Amino acid sequence: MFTDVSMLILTGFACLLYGVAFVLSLCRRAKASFWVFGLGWIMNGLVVIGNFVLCGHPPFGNMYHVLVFLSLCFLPLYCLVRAWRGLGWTLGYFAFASFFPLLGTFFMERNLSWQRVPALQSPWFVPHVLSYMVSYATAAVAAILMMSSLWSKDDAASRRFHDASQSIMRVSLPLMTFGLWSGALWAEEAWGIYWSWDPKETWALITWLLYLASFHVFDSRGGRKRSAFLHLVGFAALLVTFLVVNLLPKFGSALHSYVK
Amino acid sequence: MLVKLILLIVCFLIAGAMPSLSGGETAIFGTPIFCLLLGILGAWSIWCCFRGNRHKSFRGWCFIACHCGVGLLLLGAGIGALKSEKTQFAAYIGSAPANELPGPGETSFKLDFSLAITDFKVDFYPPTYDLYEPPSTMGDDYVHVKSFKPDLDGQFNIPLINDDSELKDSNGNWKAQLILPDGKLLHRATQTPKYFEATARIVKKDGTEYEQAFWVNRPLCVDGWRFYLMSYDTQHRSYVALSARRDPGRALVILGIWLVVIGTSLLCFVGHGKRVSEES
Repeated sequence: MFTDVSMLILTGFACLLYGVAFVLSLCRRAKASFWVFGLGWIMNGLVVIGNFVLCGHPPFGNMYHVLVFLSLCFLPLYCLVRAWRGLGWTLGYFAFASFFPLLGTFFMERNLSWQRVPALQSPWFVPHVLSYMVSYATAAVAAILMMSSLWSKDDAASRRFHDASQSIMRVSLPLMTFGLWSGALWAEEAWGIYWSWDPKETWALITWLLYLASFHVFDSRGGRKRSAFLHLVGFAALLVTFLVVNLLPKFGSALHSYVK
Repeated sequence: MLVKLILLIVCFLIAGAMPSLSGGETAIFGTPIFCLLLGILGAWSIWCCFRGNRHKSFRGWCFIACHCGVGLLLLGAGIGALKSEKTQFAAYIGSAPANELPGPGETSFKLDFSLAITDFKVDFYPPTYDLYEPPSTMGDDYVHVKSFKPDLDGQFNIPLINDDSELKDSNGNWKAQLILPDGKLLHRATQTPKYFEATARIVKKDGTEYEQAFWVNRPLCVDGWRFYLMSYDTQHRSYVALSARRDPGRALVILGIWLVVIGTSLLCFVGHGKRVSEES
């Protein structure tokens, strides 16, 4: 059932449906957008299941696997922030954020078999990667909202975008914290050292600290603008952590070299 | 001020994360100024817990948990950096139990027990095969054409090999090399280990002894020492590479990490969620 061609077709359809969901939300067709988003999500889910079946273990072995899974995170997160924070109007942002990672998978090598080295065979593996995936997914949406906040000329709209972004970051930050420090606990169990100053670790710490700084300045006088600035710098650091460190050999991360 | 301190630390981190020609970029993290900045951050985190009446609300307790966590984590790491004993060494399989570990340089660490590695086993993933073309003129080297890795179905798909069982010998091991019908040479390259495990015999001072297996992600813990299986002799399987560590700051670091994780989660999920629902 899960062949190269069928996976490619499913990925293509999922990507297309995410794009359509975004366009529909722009046209203020929220209900239709939600259903199309859901259909895309089911197809995306089938691709993740296919990857799981094909490689025989949780599909986080290469950048292709990770990006496919990342796209899958957005709809459940949207449902969470809608129910918990009343941010139903952010649907389009989540659909937009789902579309891009899946589009990126078309430029990745998909047929890599992955040999899980002993260090990766740990109970920490799934919670560590999963928490980072969900955290990065929400941080991406928060960053888009923060950019919209800075872009918007209307003060009320800008404030609404900023608050929504901050609310979504409150989902992201605890997961990022767990991802970062569970990595340290895992490293201690595997190699006897919490922290090795590996580029991936260092950039993950930079990202976390920048988001923390963004939260800390929020309540101070004139803090909104500085918070927004630090938030976006934090997101830039997140992109370095997630993509640049893995894809550029000069940044070569020895301990995370299996994430190609 | 705290934000400025965090940003200063971030600047150091960026400097240390940038690739340099010498490869010594991480040296910045061992400088006294960077350690001092981390020390100030830790002290600040603990100090701010005692400002105001934070202990009177649940949200305040969450704040205290995550900020004390940062302080404890950095304190534990500092104690570990100053007081921990650590070494890496090769332990020969089948050698007699020893109560001394070779340390860095000429030093050694005396143990309250004796340790010997009695057994070691390793399991591999299917190998990568390299295809070589014979040299066109005598005396030249074989020319590398292509590498074959097993695909997602575990198949190599090597031309002229109909069945992957041809790559295995009568014992079921992957052949080291194979000449194909067209004269090309297929050579087995590296094999990634799937799992490796060592068994240690521990003899305590009172004469009690026992054996315990340990593997990557499952260190051996004896009397405060933790032994980590790092690697092994890939050629002859005669020794295993172990890392040993006794870290008095370990408990503080772990406690600090969990306080940070739990405190941050509660502060963001529970505390804030409650506040917003009250406002609404």
